[in-house]
Amino acid sequence: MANEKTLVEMIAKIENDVNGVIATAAVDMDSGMTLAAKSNRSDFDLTVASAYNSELVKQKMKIMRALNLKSSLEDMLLTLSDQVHLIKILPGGASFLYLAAEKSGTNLAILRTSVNRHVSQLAA
Amino acid sequence: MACVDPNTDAIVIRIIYDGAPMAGKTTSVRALGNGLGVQAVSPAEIGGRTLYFDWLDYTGGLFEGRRIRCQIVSVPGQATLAPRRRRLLESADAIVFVSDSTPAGFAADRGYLRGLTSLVSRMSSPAAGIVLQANKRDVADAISISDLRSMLDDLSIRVGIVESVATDGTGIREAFVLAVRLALDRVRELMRLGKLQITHPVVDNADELLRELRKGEGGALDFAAASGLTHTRLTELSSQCIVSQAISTVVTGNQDSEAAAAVRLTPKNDALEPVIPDDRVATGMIWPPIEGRAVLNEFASAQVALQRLTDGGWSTTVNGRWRLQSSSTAVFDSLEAGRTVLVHSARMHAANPRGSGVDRCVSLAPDGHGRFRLWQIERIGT
Repeated sequence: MANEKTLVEMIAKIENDVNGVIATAAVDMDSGMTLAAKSNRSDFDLTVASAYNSELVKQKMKIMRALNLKSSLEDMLLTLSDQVHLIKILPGGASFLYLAAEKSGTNLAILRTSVNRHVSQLAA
Repeated sequence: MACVDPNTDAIVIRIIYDGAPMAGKTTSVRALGNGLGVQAVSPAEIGGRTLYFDWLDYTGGLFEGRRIRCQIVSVPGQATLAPRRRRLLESADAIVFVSDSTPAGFAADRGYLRGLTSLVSRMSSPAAGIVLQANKRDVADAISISDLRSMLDDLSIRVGIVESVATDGTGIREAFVLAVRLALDRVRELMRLGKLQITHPVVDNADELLRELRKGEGGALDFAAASGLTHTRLTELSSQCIVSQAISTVVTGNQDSEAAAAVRLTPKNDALEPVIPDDRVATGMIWPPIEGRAVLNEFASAQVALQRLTDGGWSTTVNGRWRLQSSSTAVFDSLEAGRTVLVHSARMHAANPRGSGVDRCVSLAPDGHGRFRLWQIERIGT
């Protein structure tokens, strides 16, 4: 597991690339606890979002097992009316990056490209 | 102390920060509070020394669909306040032992760790898991991690180790999250045993904990604190002194192979080298649930060279201390199939205990190629 400092640096790099980031967190899959977090909006409860998104990821993995899929989950993209959310599984598979951004400030392609670039630099 | 609070439907766990005086317990809890965005409460302190405890309340994460509420409490390290320390430790679901990496601190840690493990061993099962947060790693003469591991081996203590510099926050959250995982392992075990209580927490905030401690002590320790605490570690006390004596009292189914085979899927002689498990393995996939994760913590940073066995299985050693083996038939297409065999294997080990320490573990983990592999882990030399 990458340490908090490394994860915070990665989050800062992604924020530099992407406009309109609302909040970003690295989340422990098993417990839903945040390993590193940064929120730019006080009304966005990143702790709650991280916890419930860990359930979302675990449910998706359960679905994949039920379907007997042999592939691994890489990321999940969610589009809201005014926001885009990206969940990217981190190397090792025990944690994920969760990022919420304003739809007006960016798009999923830019978001995904930046996240993939910086996450790939993390050691497993 | 873990319970399900019916009012909030949250799982309440308590994580205790323990360690020798000046090791960095309060600094760690405050740094954790800064990172989590919550303020630590310290009822009383003298000259930077905690008299009662530091308290943080944090709700985050989810377990089995319920929010996780963490009561994070540090103990006073002063030898004269040992009964207070004991009472707090007895309520732990997981313990973060903050060790001091300086040579002087390292010497003091031995006595505290011995006392801690003695106390944990007397806790009702399942006992609290321990994370050793090796603090002050930035000092020039810091004790090496291998020396630390040697001391832990001498004491037959199995803990996960996380390096930290509490003054700048490094490693604090990692130690905390590992402790939460250990606490959740304990909660899962309590659930399995039908022992997880659905009740309002006995202590809900720092004021209530302070009242409870004061009530239990009857003012005896307040006298010690009022007379002026000196920076006293356990090791600095004469064995004959009254405090030392007080502290010494404080710290004083067989495998059914046919059944197993019935649930095992047809083995595939996979030639791809598997990934070995480490402490990120999911809750419920390691036996014993708490101590086992501490063993796996040791594998996280280890360089290993896997060897192919003649039967197609895999084997390796980690740090010259652990032997891992996984047979060719121990690979599964689904987590559920592997879990059945894991439970069966765990039952077999539990029915045939060896010695007091953890010398065997079983873990089911992703093999890195889309399947799951069961690993038998054994301490070398047992």
